[in-house]
Amino acid sequence: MDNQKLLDVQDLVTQFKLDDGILTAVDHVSFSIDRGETLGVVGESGCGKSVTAFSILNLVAPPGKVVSGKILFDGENLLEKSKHEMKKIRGERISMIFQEPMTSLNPVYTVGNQIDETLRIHKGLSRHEAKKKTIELLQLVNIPLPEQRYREYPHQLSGGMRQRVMIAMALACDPQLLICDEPTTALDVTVQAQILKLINKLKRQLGMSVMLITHDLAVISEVADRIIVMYAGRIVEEATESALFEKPLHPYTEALLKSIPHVGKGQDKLYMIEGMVPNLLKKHEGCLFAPRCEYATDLCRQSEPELLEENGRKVRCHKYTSKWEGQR
Amino acid sequence: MSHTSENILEVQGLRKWFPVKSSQLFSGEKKFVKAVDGVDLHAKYGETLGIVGESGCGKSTLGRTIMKLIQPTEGRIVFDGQDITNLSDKQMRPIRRNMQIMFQDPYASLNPRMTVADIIAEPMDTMKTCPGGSEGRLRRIVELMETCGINKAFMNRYPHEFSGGQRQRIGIARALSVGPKMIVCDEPVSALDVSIQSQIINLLVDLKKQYELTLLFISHDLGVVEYISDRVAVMYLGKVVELCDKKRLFSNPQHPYTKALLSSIPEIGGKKFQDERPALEGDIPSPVNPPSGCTFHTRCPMACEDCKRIVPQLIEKEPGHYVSCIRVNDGK
Repeated sequence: MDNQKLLDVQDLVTQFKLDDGILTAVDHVSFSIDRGETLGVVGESGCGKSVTAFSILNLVAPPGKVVSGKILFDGENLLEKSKHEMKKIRGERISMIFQEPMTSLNPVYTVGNQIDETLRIHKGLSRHEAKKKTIELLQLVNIPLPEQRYREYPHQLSGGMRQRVMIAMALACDPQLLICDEPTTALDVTVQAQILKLINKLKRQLGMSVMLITHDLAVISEVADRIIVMYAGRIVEEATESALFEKPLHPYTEALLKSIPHVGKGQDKLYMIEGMVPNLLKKHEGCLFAPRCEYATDLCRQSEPELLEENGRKVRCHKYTSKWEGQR
Repeated sequence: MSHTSENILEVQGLRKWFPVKSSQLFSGEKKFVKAVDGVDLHAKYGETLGIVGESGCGKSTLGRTIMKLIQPTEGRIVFDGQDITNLSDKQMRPIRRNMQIMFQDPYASLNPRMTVADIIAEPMDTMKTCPGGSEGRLRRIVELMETCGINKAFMNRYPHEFSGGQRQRIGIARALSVGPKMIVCDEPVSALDVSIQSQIINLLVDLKKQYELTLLFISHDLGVVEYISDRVAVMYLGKVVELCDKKRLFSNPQHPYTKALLSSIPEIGGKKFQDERPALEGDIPSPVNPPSGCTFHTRCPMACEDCKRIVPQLIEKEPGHYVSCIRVNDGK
């Protein structure tokens, strides 16, 4: 066991049994997160990035199910844990914050109460100790007037404040891994900048690992050390942040980068990715991105490429195999 | 502001205050959400005017008030040389042939019980703009579907059978059906994935050129606004704080809010968020009870005592560059 790895996901497959067939939302996904590292997972809606996170926490609800694979967290396979053991791990060692700070807080309890609860259950603190620690946590996430906020209800807070409360709650038990699922998507740019700075600061201070899921390439570039690009339930590219944006290898990553208008670039025409994300309920042949890919050849339409690995980078594309010669 | 015939739209001192129910039953004092609070702007024929701001700044209310979907509380709207401020719904009808709107949510803005053909044709049916009877109507629908990149074979399908991007295309076709001069686009790409977003933006740019449209492009995404607009208005708490051509706005912003907004945008390879000091502290104050003087003074890094008292006016600092900040004028 490589001790550097905090989380090691191997060949994860998560499927949803629907009325009109089986949908493989996560298809043989493997990746790892080192201690203290921030891994970014990027992709469009429906690419399986959130389901991957839910699978790690064993929170996939029926009709969904983790069908196969291994999720090694600190050397232990989370898929073999009982419900009770998982509950302990979820609160204490892996925490998650969600996109909607509005719906993930309980409206009938005060902010203080909700953070207290985690501390009392998992750490066995007394009421008084828990309150003290909660106020410390609210301070840590830069909430002004923490003692007053402690007594307030979620509806009295703004979106940015709620997301801070969510982060404080997630940090309550000093988790080793923090999973952030689109943490800033519902927020305004100036507030988003505050939250991203906060995540960067906490990561440095507390030395935890972070898995950041987002559809926004710029957000991920600001925060992540290493990035996974997902498309239709599969990993199509993996690289360090600087390498990925310097030279994207997969045509999908390349196309995504070209299709976003960047501030201060003054582009003439935006690149368009034709068509839509494939319907995963239908049977596929070949590379899933081939129908939208400008480089696609007969080879791409007939056989699905493997995930190739070279110099610490991974890419799922025929362009980088020996078979590609003579295709064009 | 200049008042020449080259302007398709002129807005002066526009206010929209929504009354709010007081929480105290007998507290006599009436309260208002000051969604739009004194906006001056104009749009020239054939230009794209971007309106950008964070949620709650009143940009959508502004768009709807200009369309007269909401009656303004105060101020004046001149569209295509005609004062439309006090026109009734009935009087507005012929004018709406020339001004159309498309909305943010492609799921909520199309009637689920109507076929795509009927949705697209609805404005021309109500305004009776299409000659040639049912045959002419059908020809026009097919033409619109082709222009907007919707497969004409799907004419008799219902909105739920389409993806978000396709629905936005239907919304565009509907707005185009009566041949408008101006289209208000209210966050048209915010609900879409990046790869679909670029398709819709490019379609809007092409249509604008083809039909010489004026676009009022409302968005919170500065990258998109910079790409599509000729001039940009930045809004904060119901007011325009800065207005100029996009080049100057993005290269040489004057208002401290615009500066903060630009420095908050995440950038690829930017690594801007490593230090702890945020560009802007706090959240947008409530529009029910906006701060005194300059509404931005509570968050502004340049604020001084005067900012708490004096309400800044939108002043033309350089030709075509309007800024509403007393500190900027100080420096001059």
